[in-house]
Amino acid sequence: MNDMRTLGLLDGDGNLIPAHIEGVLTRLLPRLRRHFPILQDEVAFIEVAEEAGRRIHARETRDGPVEKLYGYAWVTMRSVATSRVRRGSIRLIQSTLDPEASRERIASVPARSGSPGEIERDILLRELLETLTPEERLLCIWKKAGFSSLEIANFLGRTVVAVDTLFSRAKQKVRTAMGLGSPKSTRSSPTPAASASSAPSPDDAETERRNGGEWAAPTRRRKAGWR
Amino acid sequence: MAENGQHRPDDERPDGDELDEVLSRANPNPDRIGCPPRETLIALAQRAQPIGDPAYEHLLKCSPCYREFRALQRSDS
Repeated sequence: MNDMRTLGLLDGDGNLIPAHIEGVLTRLLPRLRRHFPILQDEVAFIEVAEEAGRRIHARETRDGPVEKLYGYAWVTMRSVATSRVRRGSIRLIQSTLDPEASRERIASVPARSGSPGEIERDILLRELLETLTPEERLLCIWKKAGFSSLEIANFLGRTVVAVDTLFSRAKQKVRTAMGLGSPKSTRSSPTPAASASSAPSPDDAETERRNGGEWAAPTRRRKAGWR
Repeated sequence: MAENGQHRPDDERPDGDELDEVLSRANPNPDRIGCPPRETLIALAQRAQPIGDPAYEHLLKCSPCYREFRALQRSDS
């Protein structure tokens, strides 16, 4: 930064800013760094100097030489730097701890809901749940509560087959979103006749277990390597 | 068919299936907003509430309640 001539500050048209302006700006740079440490990197300081140089050059082009160039240049530079500090990206830097400090801060905060990875997974699960329609979600909770397809169908005014299909699709949506394989190869779809009588089906384990029937699906799933 | 039998998890995994994982974790609700009393959860777990009870919908929005509800089901079985 001590030799800004080598950097070549440019005006808005891509021409070099006059040397006398650049010289003043160069001398003012240490002061700028002291007043605006938040700008942090040299590129930011150069950009401020360049923008100030453009403004001063435009002023001189329009109105002739500035009488008190040093003072005018400092006010211009300060104005440009202040505007820059107010920009979003710099404000973000201001409000963000450096890595070392942030590690210390995180380490001192008690976790309420597990590790960052667990929190991220919870968020993904929430998004996954939101992919289900309200009806699918209710159906899932009713199934978990132990209601049979027949009971749900009666409540919704739909057929048992429709309920079974809806539940099957909801579960498949979840499995797919979780990156699990399709269960189609290991599970048979309920036949309309069986469903119509609300007989146990692989998709209706609650009902089947309540009926005291043997449910082969878990065994089939284990053989197929399911979780 | 018997409709009032005891509930059991619908998967061979001791902690339930994928739906359980989703419903158990998707809605942390740390401040327990809108949670019904424990008695309601017990009633839900025992299927003593009608299917149209809005408390079932709460289970979809509150993972702590869902976990408690599932634990109550397991303890009943």
